[in-house]
Amino acid sequence: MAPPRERPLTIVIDAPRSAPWNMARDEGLLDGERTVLRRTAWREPAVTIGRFQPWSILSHPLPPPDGSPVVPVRRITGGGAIFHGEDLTLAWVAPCPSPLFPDRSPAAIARRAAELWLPALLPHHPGGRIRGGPSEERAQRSVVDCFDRRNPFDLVIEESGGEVRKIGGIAMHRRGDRVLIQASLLRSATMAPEGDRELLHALAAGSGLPIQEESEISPRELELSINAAALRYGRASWNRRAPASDRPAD
Amino acid sequence: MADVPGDRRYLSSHEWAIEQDGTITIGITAHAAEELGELVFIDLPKVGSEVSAGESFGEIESVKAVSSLNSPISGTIVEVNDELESSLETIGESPYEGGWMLKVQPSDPGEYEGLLDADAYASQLDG
Repeated sequence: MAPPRERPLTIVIDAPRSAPWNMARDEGLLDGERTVLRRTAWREPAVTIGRFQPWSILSHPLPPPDGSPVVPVRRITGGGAIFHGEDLTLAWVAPCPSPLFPDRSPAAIARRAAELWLPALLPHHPGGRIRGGPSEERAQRSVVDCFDRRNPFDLVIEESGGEVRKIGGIAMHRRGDRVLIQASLLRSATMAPEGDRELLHALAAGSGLPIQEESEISPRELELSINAAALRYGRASWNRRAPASDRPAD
Repeated sequence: MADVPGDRRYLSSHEWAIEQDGTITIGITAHAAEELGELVFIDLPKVGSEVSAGESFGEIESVKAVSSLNSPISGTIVEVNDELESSLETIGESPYEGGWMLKVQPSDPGEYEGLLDADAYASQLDG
């Protein structure tokens, strides 16, 4: 009898969408069953804030380069705020534990994602590496911008002056036996959006899984996304929620 | 089996429950705390809220990852360990004592007996 065929990794080069819909689609994928690498494109500039960040941090200057208004939305993943518009945003959803992510610990997932992606990014960010060093998560929690935070599993490059610059960061949500990894990668001069399809295939190649490509999420994932939008991202009570410590007592 | 006390029950998603005087106290196991690493934030529900067996009752952030916390049993929350928010390290230092999260008045006491015992949970960790 032939061994069971390995489940494929599906690449979805998604169309530009609003910030709430992008977050809802990622959560729909998390609640689905497939392994998916989605290119997230933005209909307009947006800021996503981490699950536990206070809404008030939006007064912090996260710079839209042309001064245009941005749409803010709260993620279900951790970490800091990210301005989206010129970055390459990705969502990677997979079973965990699984051959792709054998260890459920957040540090192991972050390390694995960084190791899988780095080879595909090196042609675009020569000298790129995984930052390494100790974890300082608690010390970093008051740092607003994801790209100002330091994590051992950041992707970084060393600039000419010796300064280390973060070129990629991730945030995760673990639910049941699945994980959602949302990533933001700085685009280099060789990473124009027209090349996203090729780059996503290179990023996915590290997984060792059979790869297929689709232009849309599945009807079931869409249904789950609509539920997530109704429950969270379309509601001020989710997006503007205060940390538990700031909420009034009953 | 030092990390798996025999006086309580477990979920495969690494939460524990212990019955004391008709209420069920809930927390996460030493394995879960170690796996999470350095904890940064926690969001627990309020007293009076309902929880459902196997469903999320809260979330915890560590190493840029938010993880769901699942309730082993159904019922009404009668007490929340509010001290955890300012001393998250207690969860790792004392997961089975000071790191407790909720106390619940169970709506279906039979659910408790249906949870994994220490041997079954330890086997899962070994497997």
